[in-house]
Amino acid sequence: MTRMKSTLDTNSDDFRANDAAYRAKNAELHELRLQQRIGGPQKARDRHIKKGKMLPRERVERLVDPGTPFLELGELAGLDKYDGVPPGAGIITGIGMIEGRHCMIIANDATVKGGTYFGMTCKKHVRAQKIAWNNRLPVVTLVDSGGAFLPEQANIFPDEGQFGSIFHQQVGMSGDGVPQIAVVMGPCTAGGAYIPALCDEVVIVRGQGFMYLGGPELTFAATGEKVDAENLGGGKMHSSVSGVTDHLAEDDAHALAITREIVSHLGELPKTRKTPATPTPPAYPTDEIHGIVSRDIKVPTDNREVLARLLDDSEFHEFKPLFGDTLMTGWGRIHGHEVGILANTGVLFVEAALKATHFISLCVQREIPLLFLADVNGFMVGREVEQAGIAKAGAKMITAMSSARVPKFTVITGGSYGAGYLAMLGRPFQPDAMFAWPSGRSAIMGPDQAASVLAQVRVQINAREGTEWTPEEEEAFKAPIRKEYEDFQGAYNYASNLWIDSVIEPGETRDVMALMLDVASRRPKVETKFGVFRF
Amino acid sequence: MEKTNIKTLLIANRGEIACRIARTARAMGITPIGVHSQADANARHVREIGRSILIGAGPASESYLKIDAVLDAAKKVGADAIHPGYGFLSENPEFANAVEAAGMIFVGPTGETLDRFGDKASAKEAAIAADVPVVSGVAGAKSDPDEIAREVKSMGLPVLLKAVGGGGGRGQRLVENQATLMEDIEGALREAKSTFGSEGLLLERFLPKARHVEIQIAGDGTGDVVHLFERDCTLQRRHQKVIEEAPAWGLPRDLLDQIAADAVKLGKSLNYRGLGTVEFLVTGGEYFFLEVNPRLQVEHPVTEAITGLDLVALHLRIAAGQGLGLHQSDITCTGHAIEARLYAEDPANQFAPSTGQITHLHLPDDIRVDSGVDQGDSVSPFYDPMIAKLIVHADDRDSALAQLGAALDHTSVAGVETNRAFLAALVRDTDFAKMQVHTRWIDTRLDALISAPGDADALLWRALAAVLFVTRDRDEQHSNPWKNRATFTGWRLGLGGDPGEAGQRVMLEPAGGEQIEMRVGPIGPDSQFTVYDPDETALHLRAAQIAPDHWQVTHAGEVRIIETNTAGDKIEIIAPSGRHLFQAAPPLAFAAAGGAAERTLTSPLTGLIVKVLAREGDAINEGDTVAILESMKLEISIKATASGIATNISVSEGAMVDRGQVIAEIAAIESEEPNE
Repeated sequence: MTRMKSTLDTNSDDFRANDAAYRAKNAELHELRLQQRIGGPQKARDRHIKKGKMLPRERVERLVDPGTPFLELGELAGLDKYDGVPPGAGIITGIGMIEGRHCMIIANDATVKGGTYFGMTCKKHVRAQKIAWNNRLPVVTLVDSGGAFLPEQANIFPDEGQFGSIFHQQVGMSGDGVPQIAVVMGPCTAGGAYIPALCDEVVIVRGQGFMYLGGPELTFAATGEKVDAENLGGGKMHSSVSGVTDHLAEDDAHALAITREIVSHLGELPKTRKTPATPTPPAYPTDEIHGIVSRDIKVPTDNREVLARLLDDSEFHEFKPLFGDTLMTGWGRIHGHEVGILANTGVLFVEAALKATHFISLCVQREIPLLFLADVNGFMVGREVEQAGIAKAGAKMITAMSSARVPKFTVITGGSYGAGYLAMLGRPFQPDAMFAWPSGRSAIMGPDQAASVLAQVRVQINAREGTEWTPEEEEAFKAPIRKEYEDFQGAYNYASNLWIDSVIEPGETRDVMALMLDVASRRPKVETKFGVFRF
Repeated sequence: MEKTNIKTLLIANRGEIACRIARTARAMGITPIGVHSQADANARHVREIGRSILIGAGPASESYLKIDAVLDAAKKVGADAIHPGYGFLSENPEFANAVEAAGMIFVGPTGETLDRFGDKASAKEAAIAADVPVVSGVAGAKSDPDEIAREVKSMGLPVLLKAVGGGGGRGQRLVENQATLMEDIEGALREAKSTFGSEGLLLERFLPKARHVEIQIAGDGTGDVVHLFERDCTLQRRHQKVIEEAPAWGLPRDLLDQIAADAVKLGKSLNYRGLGTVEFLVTGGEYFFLEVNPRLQVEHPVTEAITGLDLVALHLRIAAGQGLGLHQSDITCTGHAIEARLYAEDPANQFAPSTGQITHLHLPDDIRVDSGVDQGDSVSPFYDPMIAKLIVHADDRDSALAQLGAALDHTSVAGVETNRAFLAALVRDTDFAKMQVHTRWIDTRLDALISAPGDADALLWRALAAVLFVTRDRDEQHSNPWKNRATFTGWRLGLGGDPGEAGQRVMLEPAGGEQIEMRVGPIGPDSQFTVYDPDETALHLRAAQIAPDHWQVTHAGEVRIIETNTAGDKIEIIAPSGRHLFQAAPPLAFAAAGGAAERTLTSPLTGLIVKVLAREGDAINEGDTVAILESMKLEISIKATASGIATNISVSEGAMVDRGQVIAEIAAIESEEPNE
């Protein structure tokens, strides 16, 4: 392996200015995360605690093995989407270790609008299940939810990917042998009752967890039957009469203790199929990435310098370094895990796309996971490249990338635009996990380009109509378009819509990837069937 | 005296002294055989001696104090001698006589000597007769309260009232105030009668700032008596010795020689046989006879240390009629020795004995330790709760004190409370270092000694224990990031901001301390940890593993290399300055152990109630049968699923019940708070 050489001048003004700008971005991220970590309003949290319940984050902390990591996913989902709902959409999802086993933990936050499901809550729950399913992780759901947030009906009820998909996936996962455990720590009414009911084992907390298709009020309204909550769907009733629940707990701590015991009896732990090397830090401090990422989007970032700060010992075995040099491809390790890297160093040309295709097929052949570091304005345009068949070359890259069934991950480090976003393992191609740095941004095209393209269309119409724009009129036309694209392209908008799983700091990238790579290394191999490559 | 050889020695004692005597016996080619009560069937002295005879039930009065049982045991094993150790039957003349009457050797003085020294008045008379100075007082015992009051008034306060049959400091009462005089006298008389069965009180001038100095003597029973120098046992609490040392530091040698000469004189006057200790009070150049302890003393190891003699061997030699085998001039005093008595007792709770299983025990291995228990043994309520004696011997007193302090720091006990920290505070006390102490000094300083901060680093060790717990089973260089300690312990996304309540909680119980919940905050770069106590006070430390079970701990600019010993949830930190033991539990452990049980009892089948055993309001325990149901040709016991009070018993005998029908409920007992 070859150690990458850095020519970075950490004493330059440019470095310092970049660094300061990036740290401000990180601070903004921390601020947002803190909001979601706190959860609902103080009053709601106090009320929750007063009932003798643990806050959802405390439940998670106490469920996982002491000292082990908890890799949270979708923490900024729903950011600024719903009034009075902090980022996170009222649900916590993430991977944690329970009794030495990786599990997907899904926990409702009852302090946020009673833990009800908004559109984004459904999507986040479904997404967490999907990650669990892909990686064969047992799912532990800590249910404490008032059910659907009714005014959100359109975004939670009728469609695929909404609330009903939770059940559909539960059944599908179960069929694939993925264990599912529910802990009923609050009310589960109507549809909500099916989440635990479809699980393998259910724990319920006495006097606190309730499960019924219709609550006491609805039952009375529908049939005239008067019955209290305890007899209708209380823990004691369900554990001793209906058999809907399997374990009766006295409080949250007890329920979590039972849950840990359940997980300890899920059979033998899956073994890793990979033998990682001894982890080593990069030869250059990861922290320096802050000073490398360009603060001015017009000035490209030197992604070679970035990569040197992400790989173990900065060692990178580059593939085809002299061919298609607007895309770096090669192998390195992150915390000892071997990974195939595709990182942009410019616009995608025919050669770059062909190189990517070649490289991806090698990684598939060798069962090496893929990591796409996306910072690309798109594919090259123009007569020369069209005549060289860039559409064909791009299609090859997309076919290889889309077909590959090795674990594959995306991190948007800079601007990722247009077909470039898609070719660099965009969300539609179902990466195992997708992250963006605070500097990450993505759209069909950049704000300036969008404004220019639309202005040009307008200019053509104007020409047909025989009118002309003053420069001021043109700017007045462009400005709102630019603003719209700027708002759209930000990492937080992507996180809010769950188009990415998380916004992570550059400094967290190695850690997040290491945890994900380890999880992925324990799942069974899936054969790749490539689609047709056009030659 | 007839010379003989002891072949088989019955040790009529238990604990450390039984083990101690057996060691020497074995070295002398004598077969030691022990005795034990039912409570001691698995005790260390039984295990160590290797053969032991059951002599009765747990209470000492039904075993170790039963003369017949001990004699029967001795006869059964064909013992030719009995060593009584200390306490129990060691000073009982009736026992000594019975042993000799049975044709065996009593390792100790004659019954006559024991008789004389068992009574304070006659002991004092013996001293006066031998021209040994005694504390001024009224000759003979008095039992008339008015007469005592008159005498006390004429002597002037303070005066010490001593029960005639008392000893070892028990049965003493100090009168300091005229107002309470009659009350004190009557109380002392009552106590003398109830505790010692004696009517009389001795009246003595009280010496307020005296030191306790005692002379170890040995006599061959024919008039040859030597002394083995003195011991200073001034540090006492309620007349119980806490720390003993030899020689008596800071007193002029000529004074000590004079005291020793008097002790020998007293011994010679009685043709003293065996080992004995003549106790004196010393104040301002004067000394006064107190009493004689006619037996092997708890604190004999300090004398062994400075003289290089084996006192048990000497004792056995004398008993075998082989004489002292040494002259006074052979006996020398080298260096300084100190002994501390480690007890299972709770200093914070008036030194009440602390019973239960010793779940963890580490005693120093570089000094002499006489111990009667091992890890896993229990401290029973029947006997003296001593765990061990720690004995150090150094060139001078300062070094010995330092050694003892370090030894106490390197002692760790869990499962029972101990006086370890109290002893450590004592040996580091500056007044004690200068020997500016007296027999009641501990009482005057008790609060300060108990609340002594002890280890200034206590908070650090606690924080470190929390860190070690959350990082256990984790690996510094592990390629599995989920197990990697260096980078991933407590890892969470977004720890750059205010971590809020992030972090791992762990319940910690320091040995001899209160359970506390600590929070280990997110790990920082380079093994930096922040640990929060329940008050959210943060402590920053760096804990880097340098080898398996070895850590470099950095805190406040100071580096310490420590060793750890972890087994399950037990974490022991072995620092250069001492050992620190913690029991850790993840916060859910307690929940898993005791989920509240079902409190409604229902019939498991349709059938006939043939018996109802619990009555309304009965306190019942989990597992008790509440009713018996006959169904499907079976008698089925309906058992209590929880402990509590039986209520709402809704069936009676002969009643038919349906499956699921409520039989009774068990109400929780309202207050289970300790009576405080």
